[in-house]
Amino acid sequence: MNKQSNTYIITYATVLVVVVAAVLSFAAIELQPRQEANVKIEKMGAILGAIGKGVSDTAVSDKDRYIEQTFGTYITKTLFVDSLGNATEATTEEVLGALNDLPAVFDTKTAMPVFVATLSDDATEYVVPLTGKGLWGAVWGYIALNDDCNTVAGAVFDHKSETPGLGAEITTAAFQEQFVGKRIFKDGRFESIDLLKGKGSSAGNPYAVDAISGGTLTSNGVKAMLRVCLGDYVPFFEKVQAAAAAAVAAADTAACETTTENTEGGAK
Amino acid sequence: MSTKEKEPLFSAKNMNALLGPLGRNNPILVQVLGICSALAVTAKLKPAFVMALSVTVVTAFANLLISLMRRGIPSRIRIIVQLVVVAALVILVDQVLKAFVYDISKQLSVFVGLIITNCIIMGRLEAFAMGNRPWPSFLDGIGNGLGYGLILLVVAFFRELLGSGTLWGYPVVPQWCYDHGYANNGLMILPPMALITVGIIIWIHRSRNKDLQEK
Repeated sequence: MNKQSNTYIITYATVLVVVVAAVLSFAAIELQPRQEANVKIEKMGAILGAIGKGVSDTAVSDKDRYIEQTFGTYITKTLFVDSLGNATEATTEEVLGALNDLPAVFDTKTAMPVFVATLSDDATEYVVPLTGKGLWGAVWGYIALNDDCNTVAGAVFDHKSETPGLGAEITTAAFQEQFVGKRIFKDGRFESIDLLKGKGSSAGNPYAVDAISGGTLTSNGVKAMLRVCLGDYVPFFEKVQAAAAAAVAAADTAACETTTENTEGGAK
Repeated sequence: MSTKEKEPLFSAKNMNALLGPLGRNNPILVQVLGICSALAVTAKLKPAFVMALSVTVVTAFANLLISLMRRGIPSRIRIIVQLVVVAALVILVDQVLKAFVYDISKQLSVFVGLIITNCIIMGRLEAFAMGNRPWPSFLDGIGNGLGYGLILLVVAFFRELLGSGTLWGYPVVPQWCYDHGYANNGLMILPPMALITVGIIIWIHRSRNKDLQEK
């Protein structure tokens, strides 16, 4: 057989490519469930990190099992929220699935994921996902708000390919802990959280944290991400706040009525 | 296979194919191949180790497969055939890492894909596997992969120790050092220091192997 003939070369190439394609497709299909499970566990771990129950907060041997169990314990409700703030309850699977393509979710704004966590002391926290662009690639994160939908309870950030030691510092606890206790509404108007240049420049400012020095472009990306993504949730946050205010008002009225009766009683 | 020719499995020649790249003929130090990934994945020991392992697996099996196929490969498309084989192996490695060690595969990110372009692999295929029997080729692949991995680990050891104060993720620099003003050297984490570390290793290597020194 002439190994230099065109027929031989074309046949050889065709057979080779078909064999390789078959092997790779088989491997991809076989390993896919495991890979998807890993991605899901990672997202669940990040959400737990935002409410302060992440893997780094406790020493665990079997990370995957810990995440699945803890997630089941604390995340009590999962919602889809539209741009008007209307929430519809959905299954955990569906809402976690929506995290796979966040940019599209924030483009359409019809079904933005919210995770409602109930902590051990009955406090409610709302965890929302964030997505944006850093310097070299995507940055994303989760931010947990207290039940007033204003005070930040915790935040985690991650990135695809920011510079190690500079922009990649957004994944460090030191950066993320700054967010705890910050507020996103100022006098009832959405303010978001700013990232200010210089260490200590945000001291005492409830609407800002220190940016990463040497990571200005990443910091700007995080800032824009907070503004845009949290901004999309504002109608939902306002509804929650309104509902809470209504509940408080109702309780107040009830309390007032009892006091009035009491004073009347006392006057008589 | 070599056994048929009554050559022992680990003859001197085969051992040379396996061990040569670890010292005298190291792909990074002597042939200066595969530098790009040596810079990228050596900030910590763990990813460096997984990268070394992945490259070893890929070079070994690419060498083996190409050596098995070498009589059938049409010489006019041999580079393409080599690339297809290497690419297929790399994708397999990538899929396996994603399925079983997801955290590490995330850290290695794009560099696993870039194993395809690692010059060591194509270099060994062209220089060795195309002209040698499968078993020596397989050993040569393992040897070169390990030779590459060895340097990766040495570089990662110093970069992680001096840059992060940890080894394999465990803190090794005691707290009292930090209390007395010791600080991790952030520069060690950046790629230029990897290049300088490799340079220092090459310097030591050359001064011990004087015949490698250029006149």
